[in-house]
Amino acid sequence: MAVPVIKIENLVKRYKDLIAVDHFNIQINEGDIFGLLGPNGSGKTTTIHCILSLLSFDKGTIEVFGETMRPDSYELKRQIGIVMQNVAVFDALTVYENIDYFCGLYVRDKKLRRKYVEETIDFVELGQFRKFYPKKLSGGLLRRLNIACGIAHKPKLIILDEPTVAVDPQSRNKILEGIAELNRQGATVIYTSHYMEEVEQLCTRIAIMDHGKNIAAGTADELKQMIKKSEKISIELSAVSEADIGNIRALPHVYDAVFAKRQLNIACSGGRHNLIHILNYLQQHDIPFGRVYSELPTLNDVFLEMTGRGLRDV
Amino acid sequence: MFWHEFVYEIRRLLRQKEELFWVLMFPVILGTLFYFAFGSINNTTENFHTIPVAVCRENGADNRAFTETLTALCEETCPPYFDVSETDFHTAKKMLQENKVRGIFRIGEEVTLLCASVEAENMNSTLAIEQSILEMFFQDYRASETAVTELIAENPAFAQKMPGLLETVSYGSPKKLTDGNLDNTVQYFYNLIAMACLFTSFAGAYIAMNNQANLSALGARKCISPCRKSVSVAAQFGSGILTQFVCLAVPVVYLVYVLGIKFGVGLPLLFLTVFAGCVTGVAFGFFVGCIGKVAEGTKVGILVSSSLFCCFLSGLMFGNMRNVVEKFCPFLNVINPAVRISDSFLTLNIYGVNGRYFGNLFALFLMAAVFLAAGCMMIRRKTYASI
Ligand SMILES: Nc1ncnc2c1ncn2[C@@H]1O[C@H](COP(=O)(O)OP(=O)(O)O)[C@@H](O)[C@H]1O
Ligand SMILES: [Mg+2]
Repeated sequence: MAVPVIKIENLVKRYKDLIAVDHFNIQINEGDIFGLLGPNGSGKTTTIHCILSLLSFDKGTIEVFGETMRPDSYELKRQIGIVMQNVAVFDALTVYENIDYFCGLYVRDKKLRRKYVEETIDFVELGQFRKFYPKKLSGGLLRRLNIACGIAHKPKLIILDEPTVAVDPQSRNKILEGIAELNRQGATVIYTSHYMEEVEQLCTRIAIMDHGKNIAAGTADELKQMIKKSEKISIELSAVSEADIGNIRALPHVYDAVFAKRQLNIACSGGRHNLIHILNYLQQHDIPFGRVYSELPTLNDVFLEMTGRGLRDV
Repeated sequence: MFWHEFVYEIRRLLRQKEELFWVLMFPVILGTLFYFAFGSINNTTENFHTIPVAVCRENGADNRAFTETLTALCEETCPPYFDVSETDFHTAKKMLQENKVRGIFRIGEEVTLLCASVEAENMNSTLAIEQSILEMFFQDYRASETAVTELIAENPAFAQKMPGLLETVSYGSPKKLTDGNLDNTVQYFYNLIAMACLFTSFAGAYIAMNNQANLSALGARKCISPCRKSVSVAAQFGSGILTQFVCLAVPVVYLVYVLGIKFGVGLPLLFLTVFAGCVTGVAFGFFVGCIGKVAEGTKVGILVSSSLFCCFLSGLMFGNMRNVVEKFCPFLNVINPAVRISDSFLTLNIYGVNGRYFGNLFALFLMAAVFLAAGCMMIRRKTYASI
């Protein structure tokens, strides 16, 4: 039985004329790594701010751990760790002091705090930088410090808003592994990003957001099943006649076939044996072919089909 | 939580080199420049001059208490406090116009003081200081007179036991004026400290900005933590005042012991004054920091320009500025913290602790309270329509 950690119903948030979040619904359960995927400006950060009751909203309800979050819900806040989109650390404090300062806002006990801070420093692998000031850290290390400041107090719910923007691939992988580890240790995670690969790799459940609306939600596989084009087959060919292309289009489950640059791209829906049907056809008609690729759709394809544009073209 | 915030804020403030520079090093540097620009002050110092005054008696009226006080100040102090010319009112007025006297005491049923208006053409800052000494003396005399009169009115027996009490009321504690330094260049140093006090506003501004979700990412992080804003602000305000005060002590000590600027009183009173100035400065900065969505750079700009403008009006650049303001808009002098701070030093130097000094301190703390309250009102709201 899934225990809801966050439940958002019909959330509407306007900035003057702009509707940033539009009748948005999600439920995030205990143990999830919940991905909020959407292009820039789709309303992810706004939603997070509403959850934290930093922003007032026009309509809807938000429950966190079964309670309505208010600015003075200090007990709720104690159980939440947030890593904001913008790095927020004190330039005048060292790595260690920054983590200790923010941890100290949550944990009063000094001994426990020291233990948490040490564990966090190990966790984000900033051990050799503990005496560094943030100005001296590279982008990736700074992001890791930013994360460390948000999670040092071992919260039950961790919210990360685009924590990997402008981060080198090595740091990015460390961050993603770290988040998975926190989840294994029992934290529920909300992760927003516009990088579909990250979300797909990391998240157990995903909501796709566009113009403030939740356009689809589910596991990555569930999302991919929702679209027509669920398999993309590419075959290297030297030549193929228009008639053959027409016939291939007529095969079951195939709904499009295009020949370009010595490659036949075929989009298929549903079905399990699409590749066999196509290869059989080519063989029967003595059409020689080279390499064959079969790709499952990505979340980008899902987004593309649902909105008519790619995640990246925004 | 309070101590956690308090200690970390101190650490942060003591590492912010730019702000430390403005509060600590800048006054030291500028003070040194002033010192050399004005020549060696110790040599050119003319200690207190005797102030020429006229006394007119209407129809031969007399007021024993006043006359005795005046005589005491002329004969028992060295150099004499006043140089008294007894004449008729008409001549006295002429003397005043020609700047031969600084003021006229008219003794009638009551004693009144008439001074040249500050707008007089030939007014300069030395004359203005002498005139304000005269006014201060008179204020204090009136205060003591009223106190004794009231005492007797409440308790007539008192007067019988101590015949002549009223007569012997004299102005209580004329400060040893020779301790003071009336060289009008000291004003520049007083204004310099006033400026340093106002520069503590930077620290105040950051207190506001670091605790407000709509002002900075750090503020947002603070607002989602379980730490109450009121506790954070109170703790950081405390450490802000403490660190800024300690930093300000450095230029003060430097002016007193290295440059040998005369303040006329010991360090404790100077520190008290600086403390009041620093509380006002931090509160002012906090207030500006709280103002809604204004960029950080703009706020720093507002603080720098308003601090310097206050000091300009109080005479940091042109010694006579304060008198000019007094002529066109006296209220500005009342609410200008730089004027209140430098005037405190001036009062201490010339006269020691008196009502005017406490009035200045009170004004400073009152301004601080108003700024603090207004700032708190602005940041009290906790969810924002826009971040
Ligand atoms: N403070 C604000 N005032 C006005 N519009 C805003 C404000 N913050 C965000 N927006 C707008 O709201 C929309 C959603 O923004 P945001 O939640 O930051 O998106 P995301 O985090 O998904 O990139 C965007 O169109 C953005 O321009
Ligand atoms: Mg965002």
